[in-house]
Amino acid sequence: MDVDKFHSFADVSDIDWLKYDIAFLDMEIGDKLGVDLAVMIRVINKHVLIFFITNHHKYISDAFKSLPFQYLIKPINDMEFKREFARALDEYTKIKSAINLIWQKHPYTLSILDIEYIESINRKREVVMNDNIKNYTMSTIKELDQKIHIFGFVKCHSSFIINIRSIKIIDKNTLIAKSGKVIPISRHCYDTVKKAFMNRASGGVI
Amino acid sequence: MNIFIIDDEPVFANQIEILVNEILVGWWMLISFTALQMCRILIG
Repeated sequence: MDVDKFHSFADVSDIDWLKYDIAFLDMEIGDKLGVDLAVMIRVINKHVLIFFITNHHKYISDAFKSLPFQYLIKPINDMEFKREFARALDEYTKIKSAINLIWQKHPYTLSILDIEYIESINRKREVVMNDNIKNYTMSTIKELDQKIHIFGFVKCHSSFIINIRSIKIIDKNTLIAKSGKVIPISRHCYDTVKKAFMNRASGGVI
Repeated sequence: MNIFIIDDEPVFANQIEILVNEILVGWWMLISFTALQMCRILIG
């Protein structure tokens, strides 16, 4: 467990960004922008949780490009910081979580948050990853839902479970995942899916 | 768990570092306690 602290861009020119789980970035670092650093980090490390510590509201719209976890305003309020950092630790625990599955008697392990959605096709379940690689299991949708529900997944149809982080748009009868996959939402699941999506979008805990 | 902090104002960087360490100590104690309890259950 390491906490690495820096004060300028020059100090971080040859850093291994993949090793970091959480990053706190000032919005203005000398004559450079924390937003630019965040975008660069995000290209290399897709899972790092980025906090912007700022008193510059003018950069907030640009900052969205790096998919930040949260913004904290200076001067830093200790209680607010602790609450948001605890939420980040909760998310970190989920990111590091894995699920063990079996296909044709061969056990394998998947990083739960790398799953985009699960679809029931005939008698098997297709587990589609964010990079579109497909894995298979005979576990039922119900069994899988029970295992991964707490990690921010929601059953949106009798044949589908979606990672809430992967939802791009919700319509009345369908949702569009980040990959572009159109997934049906059944009528009795709509409220649950919408609530989970809105909660996620507003920075709430899943 | 590795944490990165960059702020050109040392006072804020130091404040973040102190708060992070404070919370991480409690978090690791909780994780360790949970792991210990799991071991106890598994061993019986």
